[in-house]
Order: sequence, then structure tokens, then C-alpha cells
Amino acid sequence: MTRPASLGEFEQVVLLALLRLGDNAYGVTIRSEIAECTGREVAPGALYTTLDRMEEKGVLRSWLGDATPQRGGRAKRYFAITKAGRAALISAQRAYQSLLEGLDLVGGANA
Amino acid sequence: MRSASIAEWIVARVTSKNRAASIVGDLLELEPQKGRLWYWRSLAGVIVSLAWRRPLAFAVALCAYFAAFGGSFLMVYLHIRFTIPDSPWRALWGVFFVASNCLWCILVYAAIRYGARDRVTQLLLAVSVPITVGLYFWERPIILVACIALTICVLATSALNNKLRRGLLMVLAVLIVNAGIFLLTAGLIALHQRFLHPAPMGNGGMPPPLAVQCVEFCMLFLIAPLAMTSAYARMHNSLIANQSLD
Repeated sequence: MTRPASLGEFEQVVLLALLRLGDNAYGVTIRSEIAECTGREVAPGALYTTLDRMEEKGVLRSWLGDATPQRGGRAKRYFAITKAGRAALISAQRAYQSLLEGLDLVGGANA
Repeated sequence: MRSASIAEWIVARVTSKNRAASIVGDLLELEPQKGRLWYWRSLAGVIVSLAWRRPLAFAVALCAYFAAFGGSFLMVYLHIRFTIPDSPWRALWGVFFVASNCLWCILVYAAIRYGARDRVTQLLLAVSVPITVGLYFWERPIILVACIALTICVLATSALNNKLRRGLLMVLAVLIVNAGIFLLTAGLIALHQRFLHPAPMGNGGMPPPLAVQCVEFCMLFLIAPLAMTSAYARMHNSLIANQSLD
């Protein structure tokens, strides 16, 4: 059995945004979803390089959609999480959860 | 829309055409809300983010190329570690020596630009190591045979895998580019010595003038790595990187 790919913090954020967006995950919606959920304005350059790197890692895949007039006839590049990406995300989130266990960080005495 | 086409053309210099179009499309979609200044600032940011690895990779690859040739010549000069075989093996050894230095140059470039996880980078490493070890320990038959066997195994295994087969093709093409530049340089020098600056006692009688030496140096140590890395990057973009998009 192969170990899931290791993910950085921003990579996990991007993958979670992809999961939330479903079939409508492309550059613009991913940025706005991250901004809405985390309050973090992501620079487009940082987002595209991260998406490219994650695609090379095999944790997500991309395909070209239809061209629209508001984009000057340019196609959207849609993204979706792969099976390997899902496994990597679950593994990373489990690690966070086990670290959080017993801390009562959210809403507890330490909040 | 003309400015968008220009922007797309610029971004396409640092990534594939499809990706450039979708990136500019995303920025155009947000431009009415965020403004023109944001559009151009974001575009500059995207270009820097996508392109910074390229000059860095080339600079380090160039250093690796210098180090591979310079280090080897220094070792021969100081009689450290390895010796060059006598004829008739010298020419063959020389060809593999140049090829191995090219492979290291491309390996460094690929590792920085595409990362160590890239399959072709791993293939380059798997080919470069046995070839280099074999060259440096050619006088020890066991090591030499093991290196040859390992290289053949790597090449055979790669030929069976679709992506690695394309990688092998890229490596071969890069070596051909380098060989072409070496031959062109040798041809130019020979031409110069024969027609413009004939030496009184043949080619070995007189060293070529400084200008010719400078041209030779630039061709071998600047143009050759530049051509190799450019060819590699172009092929990587067209043969490997676009696979999931097209």
C-alpha cells in the first residue's frame, strides 16, 4: 500500500475549497471560496502555481470547459480532486484531529 | 481585447497555451469588479510566480555544466582519481563523458524547474548516475559491467512505460542538440583554421586566436546549455505537462 502524498497547509485549503465547489471549481471560484471561508485573499500567482504543483503530484486533475464571452472567449480550467488527493486530505485531517484531541481548543477553556 | 491577447501571449511564454488562456480568462472575469490596475498587477504576479524557477534553474544548470567539465579536467590535470583510456576507446569514452556532463546539466535544470518528483527528472538521475560512475571507474571491470547493466535495465524499463518513453525521447533529443552544437563548433574552428587563419604546421602548430577561442567557449559553455535547457523545457511542456489538459 502506498503512502498518501504529503500536503501543505495551503494545499489542504485548496483541496477543501475544491470539495466544497464540486463541479464549479475553477480559478475565480476557488479564490472566492477561500476568501469567503478563511478571510484570506489569495494572490492569483500563488494559486495557479499551487494548482499546477498539486496536479503534478496527482492530487487533483484539470480539464478545459467551454469558452464564455465575459472571459474574452477563453475557456475555464476546471479542477477536481483525485482519489489520491482525497486520501492525502483525509490523512492530513486525521493528523490534525489527533493533535487536537484533548486540547479543547475550539470553544473550550483555551479558546 | 487586444491587451488581453498580449497578456495571454506573455503568459504563454512561461506556461502552456491552454493554461495561459484560462489564467487570462480568470483575470478578465474579475477585472470589472477589481479594476484595471488589479488586472495588470495580478498578471505580473502570475508571470513572476510561474517564471522564477526558469532563470534560477538555468543559472544553476550552467554552474553544474561548468563544474562537471572543469572538475573533470582538473582531476585529469592533477592526476586524481581517474584516467582516460587509450585509443581505440578514448573517442567512445569522450562521447560518453560529454553526454554524462550534459545529463547532469539537464538533471539539475529539471530538478529545480519541475521538482524531484517529476518522472523524467527521476529517469535522468537513474541514467546519469551509472553512466558517470562507469566513466570514472572504467578500469574496474566489475563496476563497469554493473553500470552498463544498470543503464540498460533503466532504459529497457523506461521504454515499456508510456510517459517514461516520452522522457527517453526528450533526453535523446537534448543529447542530439548538444552533439549538434559540438559538431558545429568543431566545424567552425576547423573552417577558420583552414581558410582564415591557416597554421604553418597544420592544426596543431598554432593555437587559434583569442577571438576564435572566445567564440568556441561561448558556443560550448553558453549556447550549448541554453539550447539544451530550452529544448528540454519545450519538450517537457508539449510531451509531459499538457497530458492531463488535452
